[in-house]
Amino acid sequence: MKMPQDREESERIGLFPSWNWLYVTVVAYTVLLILLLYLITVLSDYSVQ
Amino acid sequence: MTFFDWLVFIFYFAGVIAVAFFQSRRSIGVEGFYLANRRLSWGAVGLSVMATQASAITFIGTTGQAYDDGMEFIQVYLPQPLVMVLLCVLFVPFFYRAKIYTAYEYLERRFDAKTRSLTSFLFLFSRAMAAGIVMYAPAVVLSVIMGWDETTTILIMAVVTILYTSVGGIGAVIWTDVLQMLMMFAGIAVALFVLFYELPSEVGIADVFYLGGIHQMWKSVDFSWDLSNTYTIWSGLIGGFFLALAYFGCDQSQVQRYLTARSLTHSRLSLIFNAFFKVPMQFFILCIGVFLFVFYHFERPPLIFNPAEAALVESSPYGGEFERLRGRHEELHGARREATLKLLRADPEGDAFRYQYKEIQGYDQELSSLRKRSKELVQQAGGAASKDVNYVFPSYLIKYVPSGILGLMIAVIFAAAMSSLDSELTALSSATVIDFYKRYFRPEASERHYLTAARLSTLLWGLFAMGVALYAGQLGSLIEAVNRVGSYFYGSLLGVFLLAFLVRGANGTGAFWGLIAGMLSVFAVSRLTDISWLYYNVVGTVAVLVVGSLISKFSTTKAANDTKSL
Repeated sequence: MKMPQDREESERIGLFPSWNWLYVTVVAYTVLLILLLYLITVLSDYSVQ
Repeated sequence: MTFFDWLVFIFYFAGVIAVAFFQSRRSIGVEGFYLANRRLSWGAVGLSVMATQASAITFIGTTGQAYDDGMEFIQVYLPQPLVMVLLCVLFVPFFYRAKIYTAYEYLERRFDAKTRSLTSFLFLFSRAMAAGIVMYAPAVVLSVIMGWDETTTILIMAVVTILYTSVGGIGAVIWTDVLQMLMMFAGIAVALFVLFYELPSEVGIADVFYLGGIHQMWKSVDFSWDLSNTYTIWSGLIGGFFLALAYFGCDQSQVQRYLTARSLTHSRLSLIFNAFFKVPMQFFILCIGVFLFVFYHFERPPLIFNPAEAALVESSPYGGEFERLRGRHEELHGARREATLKLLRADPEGDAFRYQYKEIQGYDQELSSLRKRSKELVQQAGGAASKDVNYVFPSYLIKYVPSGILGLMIAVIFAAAMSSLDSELTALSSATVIDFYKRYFRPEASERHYLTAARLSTLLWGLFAMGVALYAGQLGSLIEAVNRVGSYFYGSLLGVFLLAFLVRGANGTGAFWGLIAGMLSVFAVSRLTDISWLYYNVVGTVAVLVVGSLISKFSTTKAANDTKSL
């Protein structure tokens, strides 16, 4: 499948050199969120077994 | 409500009306009414996308859910940043460049008219119901807080929303959404601050986290592999991913938002904004529920949070037993409060800590069975105690929130409801006028005629949603009810769009019958298995892709347009 192309695809987005960099940052951010919530789950479990 | 509460509340309504009035002067023509002439910036669109999803149900249902079950609901939101990336890469370029008014319009260009009409109809059917539920939620709150009956509340909210939506169109909707979303941010911050402020002086912020931790209320991820468990990391990442992709990618109430952006870049940035801020916002909303849970260790919560149902059981033949339960509840709560304070002062490694911990566990079990029995009494007296969780946050607001703040919180709940309702109404109206009225009945009418039709259909959908709202009380947990209704269609709708984008040889016959097969599959799975409803979207999407691809391959119909030409 061919995706529509546009000059906007390769433009600079703020701090990011291209859209792909921004997308990779969002994916990394998601992984970080899951990791953070996992840490909260583990570190805040004060229940006594 | 004090004078200051009313002042804040009225100030909110005045702000909404002023913004809507200012924007209404810009909605000239159908493109202005439905797409704000495609001139909005990513910030406004991004906040509107967020406000559309965050309904009053989010504030009332989610906080109550966190009060009961802790933070686990956050798992459903975790895939949303990934969904936003996929939308930016795959969905938005097709939609934006096609210069369409509705998402379903794209399907006629790609497939055929019957696929467009069926998908648009499914959207209308499911969202019209959801719009009713969105209105019902604040009506529930105000019936508790202000003593208004639900019908009056629905009328007040509906009239204001219908007026500014039908006059100002999407421009008014988006800019009021911006105001409403900013109010929601303020409301979340204020609620957390006030909850902490109201705790006994000897209880610090660290104790709040500690007490929540003892009861595992901060447990945010669950890695267990149980398909019948609704909230696990897998149901969140898989089921939540498909649910969010279907909602943001195929639901006209969201697609219409990012079609109003002034360029493809702005359209994408509005979604990236949500990728970064949606999960943290939801996290803090759930925190309100956990803070409430800790708060009610020191202040005695009502046995039944809904005062109307408590009064119902009191005046029934079960009133005597309910009163005895209430007395025991008071004793137990006092004992648990003392034990909790001792536990906070005890050394976690010492015997005193273990003793207090066991004691609290015993109190918790008995308090839980008292509450269960009270709910049974409510049901025997003719009430619907299953919805009591939705009254946890409103009940706290009435009793503990200072003057002025109560008005703000009520305005926030109204803002959340109205920002979702207005989006639903413009989306329902655009699907009706563009996908049906203009397509089948008046294809060549004047711009003015369509603008009148757009305003009229907005008004009529508002009235319909109002009717649905009056019967929403028969449903169970509000938040699940809304998502459950969507789940029966959403996966299949998503399957059709993915078929359009990803399967080059797919044609209209394949898409149409694939859609039917998808919905039948979801229905069969919901009836024959006990898997969580979050997985229904996965089933629907896969069924459409498989059946749609196979039928397209073996049918003689040619694809109307492949993705290259769109």
